[in-house]
Amino acid sequence: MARIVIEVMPKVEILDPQGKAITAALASAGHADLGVVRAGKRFELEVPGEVSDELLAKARELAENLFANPNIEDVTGVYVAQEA
Amino acid sequence: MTIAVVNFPGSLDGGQVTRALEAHDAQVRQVWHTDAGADSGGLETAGLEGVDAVILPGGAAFGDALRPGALAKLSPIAEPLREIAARGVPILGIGNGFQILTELGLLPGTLLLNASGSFIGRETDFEVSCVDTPWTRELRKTSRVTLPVLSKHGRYFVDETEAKRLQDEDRVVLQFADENLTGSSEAIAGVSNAAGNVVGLLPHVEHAAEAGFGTDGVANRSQTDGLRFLTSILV
Repeated sequence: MARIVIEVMPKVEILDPQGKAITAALASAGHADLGVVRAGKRFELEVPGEVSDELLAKARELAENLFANPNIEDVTGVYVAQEA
Repeated sequence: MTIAVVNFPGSLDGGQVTRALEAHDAQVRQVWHTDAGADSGGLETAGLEGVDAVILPGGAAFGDALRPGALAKLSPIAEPLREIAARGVPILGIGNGFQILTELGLLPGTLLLNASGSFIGRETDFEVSCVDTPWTRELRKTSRVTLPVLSKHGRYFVDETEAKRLQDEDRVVLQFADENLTGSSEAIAGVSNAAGNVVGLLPHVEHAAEAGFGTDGVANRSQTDGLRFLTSILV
């Protein structure tokens, strides 16, 4: 068993209503020192067996074309998670 | 004239679309998202073969998981839809159907979470900006229509360059008239592809297609302002 992680973030120029709402709530709770929050997505793919280069390449391709919408999001990471 | 209504798991408004079309003597074919034609998966289905037009109704395909419309890309119907779009067959996406068309790459832009962050369900006025599509030819340019918005992800987004291009090419079909409810780029609420045969509309024209059955609200005088978007295809 291995795990492929895909991380996706909204592009900087895109208004992120979720991040904005969290930022405002944090600030009103006295945590303005934590600054501005942006909310992204993390996907974990539990794959049977080893992650081949081919499988990782497929995950990268799907990350760009399915998991993220390239109009509004960037794929910020596709990697094999190390088991603890 | 045969019009296909394509349903995904979670599509909701196919019934209203069908009712409105059948009341105006259109032949409606219900197509499930796996009915991709006779040669797909060994299933004998008519799919989109021989249809004159296609409507993707609103709802929440695949529960809006991942992003609204995103998982429709994996449906067997995605390829036939692209193919008939390229052949010039008229395709209309309403609400979630609009989201699906953008995710399929058949329309530019993306529908983001509303600027308010929450669901919006009410009527408002729109200006018809382009009547040069098979879905708007019964309307008058710059006329006003009152239609319901029923979306959480209704903020149409394109960057400034693309917004200008859409306006220059007369591909903005509908715009919020008085208030940009969802926070769309250039108040856009409907667009077409370059050829004009594929159109996406944010407001739910099928919920304003029959007097007495529209959404409640003082603004909706006729309650049927949406009808001509559906019947334009029949003339």
